[in-house]
Amino acid sequence: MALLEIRALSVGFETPAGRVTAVSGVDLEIGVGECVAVVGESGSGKSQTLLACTGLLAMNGHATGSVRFDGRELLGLRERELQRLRGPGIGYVFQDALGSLTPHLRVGEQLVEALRSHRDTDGATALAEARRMLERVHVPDAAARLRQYPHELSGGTRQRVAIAAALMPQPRLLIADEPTTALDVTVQAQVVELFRELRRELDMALVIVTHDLGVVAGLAERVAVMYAGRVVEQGPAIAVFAAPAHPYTAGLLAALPRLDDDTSVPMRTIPGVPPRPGERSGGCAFAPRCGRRAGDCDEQPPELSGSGPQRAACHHPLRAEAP
Amino acid sequence: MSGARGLWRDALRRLRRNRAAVASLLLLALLVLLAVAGPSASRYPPDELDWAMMGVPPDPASGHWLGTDRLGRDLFVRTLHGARLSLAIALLATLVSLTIGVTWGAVAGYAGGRLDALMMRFVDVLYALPSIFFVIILTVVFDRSPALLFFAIGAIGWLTMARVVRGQAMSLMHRDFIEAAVAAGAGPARVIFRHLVPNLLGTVVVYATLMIPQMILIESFLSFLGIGIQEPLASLGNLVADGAAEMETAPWILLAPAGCLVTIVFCFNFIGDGLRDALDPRER
Amino acid sequence: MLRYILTRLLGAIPTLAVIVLLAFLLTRLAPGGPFDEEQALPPEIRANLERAYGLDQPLHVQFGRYAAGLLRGDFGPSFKFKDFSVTELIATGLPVSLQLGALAMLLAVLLGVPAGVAAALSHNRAADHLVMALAVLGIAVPVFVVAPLAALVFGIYLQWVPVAGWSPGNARDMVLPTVTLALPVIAYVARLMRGSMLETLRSPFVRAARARGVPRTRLVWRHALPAALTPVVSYLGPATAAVLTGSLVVETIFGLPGLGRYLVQGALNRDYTLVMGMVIVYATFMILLNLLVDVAYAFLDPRVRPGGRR
Repeated sequence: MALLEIRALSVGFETPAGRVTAVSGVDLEIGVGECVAVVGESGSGKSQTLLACTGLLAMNGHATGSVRFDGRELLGLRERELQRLRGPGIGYVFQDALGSLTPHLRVGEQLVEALRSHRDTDGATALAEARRMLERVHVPDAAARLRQYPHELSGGTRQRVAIAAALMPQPRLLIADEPTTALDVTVQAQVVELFRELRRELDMALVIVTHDLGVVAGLAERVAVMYAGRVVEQGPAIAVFAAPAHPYTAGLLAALPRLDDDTSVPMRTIPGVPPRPGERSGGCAFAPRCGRRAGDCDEQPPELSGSGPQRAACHHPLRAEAP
Repeated sequence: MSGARGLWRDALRRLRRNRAAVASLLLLALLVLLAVAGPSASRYPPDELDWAMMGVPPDPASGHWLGTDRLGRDLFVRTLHGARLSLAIALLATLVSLTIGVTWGAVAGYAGGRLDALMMRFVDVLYALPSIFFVIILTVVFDRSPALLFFAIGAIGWLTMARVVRGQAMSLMHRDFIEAAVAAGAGPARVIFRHLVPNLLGTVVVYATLMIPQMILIESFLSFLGIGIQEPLASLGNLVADGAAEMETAPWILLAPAGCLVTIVFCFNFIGDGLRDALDPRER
Repeated sequence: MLRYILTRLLGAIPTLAVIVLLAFLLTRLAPGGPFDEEQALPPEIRANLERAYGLDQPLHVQFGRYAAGLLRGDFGPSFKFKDFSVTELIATGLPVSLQLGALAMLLAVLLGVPAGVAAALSHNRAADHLVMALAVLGIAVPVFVVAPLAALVFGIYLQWVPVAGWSPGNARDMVLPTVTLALPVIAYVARLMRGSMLETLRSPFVRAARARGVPRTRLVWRHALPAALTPVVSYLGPATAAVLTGSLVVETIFGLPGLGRYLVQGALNRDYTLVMGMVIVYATFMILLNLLVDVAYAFLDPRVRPGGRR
């Protein structure tokens, strides 16, 4: 049984302009200790999918479908129950580290609280644990950091502190939403390396939401590609990168600039723009931009096909599934 | 500005949808109509003493629809006269504030640099003291003459207007059409009054509408204390003061002007809020 | 921090100086003098009086004498209360007004903040609507309407509290004036608190703390509230202005022997020195209070502390 099982998850929002669907019918599984990357452009619904799992959607958001953690249904749980689950069950790291730490509380207090909210520990032990955690995420001069306020730290250190805070109660699954996007390139590499270490040491499942394919390559065992609120391809990272089945995935990979590219030729892009959440049409959402578009593409949205490890939601995939 | 007419039309539409604002507008219009035409409907003038009916509660039969005060003066007529005077003073004061404030703010915003800093520092200093104290000093200076009361009140209200206008003017200064006008050789007066000010109108209108009830309250406050409008002239403020003195035995003397005052203030506030929401650029 | 306070205090002096100058000029510009109201005085007596009070000197001399007096703590004689100097009147009135104002502000915060928080936590449900409706009433109905009405209902009809008089230490005397004065501020603080709380509860750091599994109580009181208090603290400056203004009415209606009532008397009597003295005291108070607000800011938000920014 998978650690996290998402079935037919749909997320909608009530706006003054009416109901907007951000995510439709997503299926996803995360195994124990597995690392899965969820990839997509802004607006593809990847963040909302994961937020919905732990009941962190905005007030006007509503999720339907099923999300099971360790066999237990999460959607519809009361806030009290969800609160107990967040932390030791599912941890969350947000993109904006400065925005995810409370400005008027010291770092130490926030780390300690992340632990004491779930475990009956005394202050001194918790503080020692906090220091150990900071050291584990390679924050220099950990003891001094504990007494500082979030705004006094550099961006990279802040992100590490945010990760440390999420790790304090030793979650079995960590969701990292664009953890490297706001960071310098060098720091990005360090954070990716940090995640690799942590997974090894803690046997923790990791879901990375990102639009950076380089991060995926460095970390993920499996990848799910999302477009316009749906999963359009998923499978083992290596297989998907080497031989993508969905035209969108192929387009993304092709668009990556390479050092050996001919600079006189324009960079390859996918023509057009993704549809906004309110604008999605009846057929395949990618059809307007797809080079392989055919008649049936506009009639019905394709489902994830097959039962093999690599599956694509496309009426005319680039390669047949492995049996 | 071809976009400007569309702006007002949009705003009008949004305003119409705001039920509280529309209701307030109608109520206010009704009150103004009453204030202007009402007293002629009654057979009693505002300062005639009715010896036979002093301190009488509302009595439709005698034509004293809201009763009389201690001296036998008809309350209906006096309240409406009070409303008239209070509204007139408030409108004039707002006009004074508007003129000073918009000019001050637009000049400061246009000039920038040292002049702006100086002008705004002046505003900051005056801001340190609650305006009412300056108004009180001014009323002493003007010897409580009703004609100059509105000037005294208006002379203080311009501070906030100036700040707001200056902020808007500063951001407008960077817009293309201003730079074009300056490049075409337009002098400061022309730029300020032909280009800046018309574009500030939206904000100015909202603030002016919200300023009127404040002015009414300041005037009533002063009149209540005896520093504003004096007997035998009636303003809502000194009517409330009269009523407060008699409230144990004749509560209606207090309730009529108080009710009128509160209603007017409420209406203006709802209208002002409605206007602000209607003109709010974030809505677009 | 100490240096910050000192610099601000020094900066306040020019502001105060301008206010004193302005007030002085305005009162002197008035046509006629403080002795016009008296029954027609023979001109020689009037001239003598004016000379005695120094009113015949050129303006800058008068101002110089006044300013010098101020530095000595001497606000000059009251023109109407012949036996008292303005300084003495200030000394009698200040404790009363201070007590009234301080209590009113305290009440405003102690009632307004929890009301606002409660309204935010029960967003769009019954408690929220109730608090907001009361708030609108409190803000829109002016003090000089509420005060007589409150006196009528609670003092005369219900007889719960006495209607006038002020004996220090007698708690019941203070109830009506204090509550009436505090009402608009309570209402505004509640509304401000509610809006700020709602916004803070939606902010990223609260969501992140929630995602870490921090329990709701701690989320609200330790994470959200201190951050949400900022606009309320900002408002304390204008709130004091409102309380000062309202105190003029409240002291007059309830017959409290405070600064406000003296000010009103002074204005009615064209008693320049009295009016000026009161205005200067009020101005000083406001400036000190704004400084206090800035210090409170630095306390609440470590980012604002001098030397705190990276």
